[in-house]
Amino acid sequence: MNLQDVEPLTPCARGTTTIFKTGQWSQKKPFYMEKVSPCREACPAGSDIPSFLSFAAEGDFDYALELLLQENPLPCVCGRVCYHPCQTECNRGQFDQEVEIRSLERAIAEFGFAVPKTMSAPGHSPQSIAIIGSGPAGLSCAYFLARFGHKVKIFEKNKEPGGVLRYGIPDYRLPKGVLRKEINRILSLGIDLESGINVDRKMLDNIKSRHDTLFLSIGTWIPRRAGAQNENSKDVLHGLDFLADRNSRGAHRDKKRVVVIGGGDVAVDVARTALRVCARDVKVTMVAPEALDEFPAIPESIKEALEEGIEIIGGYRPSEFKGTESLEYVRLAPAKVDKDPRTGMYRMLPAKGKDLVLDADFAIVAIGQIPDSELFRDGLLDEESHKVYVNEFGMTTAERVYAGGDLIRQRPAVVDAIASGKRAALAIHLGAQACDREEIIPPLRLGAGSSLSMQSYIEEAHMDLKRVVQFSELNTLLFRRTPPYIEKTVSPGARIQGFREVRKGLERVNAVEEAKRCFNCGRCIQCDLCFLLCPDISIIKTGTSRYEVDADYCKGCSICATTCPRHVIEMGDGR
Amino acid sequence: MRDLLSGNYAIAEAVRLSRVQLVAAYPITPQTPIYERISEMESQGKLAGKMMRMESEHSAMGACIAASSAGVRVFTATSSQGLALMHEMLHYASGSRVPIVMACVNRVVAVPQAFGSDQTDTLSQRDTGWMQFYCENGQEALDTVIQAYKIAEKTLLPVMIVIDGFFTSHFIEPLDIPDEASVDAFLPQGIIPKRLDINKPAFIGTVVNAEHYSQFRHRTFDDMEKARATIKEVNDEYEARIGRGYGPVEPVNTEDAEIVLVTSGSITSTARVALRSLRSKGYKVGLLKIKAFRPFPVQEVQQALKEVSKIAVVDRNICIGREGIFCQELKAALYPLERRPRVTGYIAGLCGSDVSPEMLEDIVIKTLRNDKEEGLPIWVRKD
Repeated sequence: MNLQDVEPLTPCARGTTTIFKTGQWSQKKPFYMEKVSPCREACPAGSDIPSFLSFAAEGDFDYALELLLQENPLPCVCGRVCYHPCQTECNRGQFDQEVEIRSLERAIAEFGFAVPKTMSAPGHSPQSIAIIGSGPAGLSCAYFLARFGHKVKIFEKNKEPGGVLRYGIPDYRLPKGVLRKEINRILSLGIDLESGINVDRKMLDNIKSRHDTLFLSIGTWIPRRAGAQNENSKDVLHGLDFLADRNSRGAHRDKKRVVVIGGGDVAVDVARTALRVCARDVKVTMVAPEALDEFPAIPESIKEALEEGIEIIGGYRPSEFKGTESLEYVRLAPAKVDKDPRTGMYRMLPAKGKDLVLDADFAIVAIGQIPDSELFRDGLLDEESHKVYVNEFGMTTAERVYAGGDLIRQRPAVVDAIASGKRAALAIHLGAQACDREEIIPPLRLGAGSSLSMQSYIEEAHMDLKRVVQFSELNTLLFRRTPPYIEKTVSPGARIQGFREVRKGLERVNAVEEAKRCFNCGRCIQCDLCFLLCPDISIIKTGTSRYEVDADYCKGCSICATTCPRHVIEMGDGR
Repeated sequence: MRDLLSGNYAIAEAVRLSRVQLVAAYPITPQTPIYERISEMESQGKLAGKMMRMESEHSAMGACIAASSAGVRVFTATSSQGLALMHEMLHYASGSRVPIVMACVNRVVAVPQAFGSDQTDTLSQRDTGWMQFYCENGQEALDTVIQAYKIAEKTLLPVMIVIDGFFTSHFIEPLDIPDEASVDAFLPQGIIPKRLDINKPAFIGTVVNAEHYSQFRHRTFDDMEKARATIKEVNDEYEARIGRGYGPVEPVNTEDAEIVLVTSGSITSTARVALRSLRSKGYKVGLLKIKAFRPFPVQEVQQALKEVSKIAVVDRNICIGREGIFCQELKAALYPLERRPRVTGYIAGLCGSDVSPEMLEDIVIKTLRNDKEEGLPIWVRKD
């Protein structure tokens, strides 16, 4: 029998069957909607981690950096010193091990080249803004305002900009050259910097009269005191003073037994710096009221401190620094820390047990800092917390005055300072445009958190900024379990000889491989799985990056939504 | 050549002789020896084609449909639950007009679970658009498989060859195996249209509208009607070349019969013995073997039975809610007759229980003595 005789026997199409719009019977259709990854929700700076890692995974560090700089002006810094809440929330942590996001941020900032984009909104009316203090909050605020086209001037009391980044964090964690490069990129946006100028109350009034808006980011430099006897002894210093004053480091060269009071990042840096500047055979002991596993410092820093031979004691506070001519020992009383249910602030309480006595010829108290209240008029500062009160947009109680960084009540960390500067910059910009902040800013917040996406303000977001992709929503069948690429470190013996950087950063090839470990939760990376697996050829690739559903033929089988590894596709009602 | 072969092995032998290019199957008792034997042939290089060991009967039929659409001669075999699992693909095959030949070895369909012969598995597939030939023994099965390829390829309709589980499938009898040259001459290769062409892609089995649907159904119906003639022609040619032939029905001593026993499958062989015994006792009894169930040989049945006053139909199957399925079909075929015979249905041999010549003689005598119209089938059990 010939083919032409057979064809009429059974329905057979050699041309097209498109006349039958089989998708019209379906009540369900897939929808593409990008969502927020838990890492991004957790990042105070709101960095679009799954997006920039998708480019890093292809070796495109330039574009990865461009995306990074959309949300965070200090990737070289954060890639080194951040406490990386992103990694704690990484969905991959429930699969094998979290992605090394912080190391990748550093790698992208090192290997990539990008110029921060300037943005001009329609109806733009530039303002002049004065920023007091050039720490991470001030730099961040200046960066975003300058990108919006505003005229920004920073006043810095020290000779060099950077604040705590320069005068607090030691070189072995953040080399000065790296910091300088990063700050220069920000200043190159056309920001004026006047350094070596100590702004007092009178001058502040003057500055305010000459600018449209003020942003206060002077940080906290007055040490919180331990309240122990003899705390004013010459052999007892306070944290940031010790770190900032590099000129007198030679004076500590004969100290052999150092006690550091405090369990935060500053205390760890103080202890590790002491190890490097005191006697060759110095014994450094850290004491904090927290339990050993509850020290507020970044766990990696504590681990590195232990590797370097620093002893750590938890559950004590100093009650007396004792000595006649010079310091001889520190008396420690049992203590504990809990949260004040009324204020929500941590407080130290006495605990049961016997005192402990540690021999010491040098002690450094690093239990936090408070701002220099001299600068503030009555009412700006909350007397109880010693913090400047701000609302959800970073505005203080004073007109035209915003504040951020360690001055305000938030975690005293670099990335939180960046976030506060960014938030204030957007609020100041919106104010200048006479836009409704109440209407514009809340939708820009990521997930349930307070971090916001500047990128989504600049360009309309084709994503649901409120939906955070959970691990259970991913299709992990196509992922393989692979261990993370961890940054190499200089050996403890070698690193305590000086201040060379401890972490060596990821090599380029390893950074690409580590970036590939990112699940890109909620982010479409055009993996084509939906396109390839659609049994009805109803996923259509449109142009360069997106997919469309051909509703005429899609039968709503949900294979695309089920197989999407990143939970970008979901089934919904309708055509 | 003569050889001792079981019915299953006879079918495998016919598959080899038919130079089948693709066997896609899944094992199930009591069909499994067909599967095993063909597998063995393949490993020994005796099979012209390839064997695909599928993950299910449903997939096996799917593979057969695809391969047949590509112009390949295919075979599969199954039983019972396997056939039931294949059900939707049976419709697909006949609708796709692919000349698939499948051996079905009757076995009960669960529940209750059992293994013996029962035609309900194949008869349940009555309306799938397949031809169905019920073979009496291994020899007939062998000959019918070879014929079936020719019938299927001429009509582009799929064919089931049915034998009784264990009685026919496992009983070893001396069989005549035709020589390869004669089969090759009877059954030429390469006549299945190649509908799948990589250079001219096609979607076979598209969605159609109501009007087209009816047209396609009507066309298939007409082609099945025309197949009656093809079945005869092919059998005549086979008989001329090989020396054996079988009609869609086989009447035995029906000319002067007052009563005719109607059987199918292996019970027919037993009935031949009972017939001789009854004739020797003076009963005017005849036998009608029904081989073709689809297309149902209405004219042949009418011809053989129009003068008969009483008929006893023995069914190794049961349609719950009606009666034996051959009995229903027979009654329907006889309905147009002016003088309709009285038909009594008997259910016997379910699950492969033995139907002895004595039981059949008893059925005949009881039917002769019974002047009542039996509304329900009579269940025959061993005393």
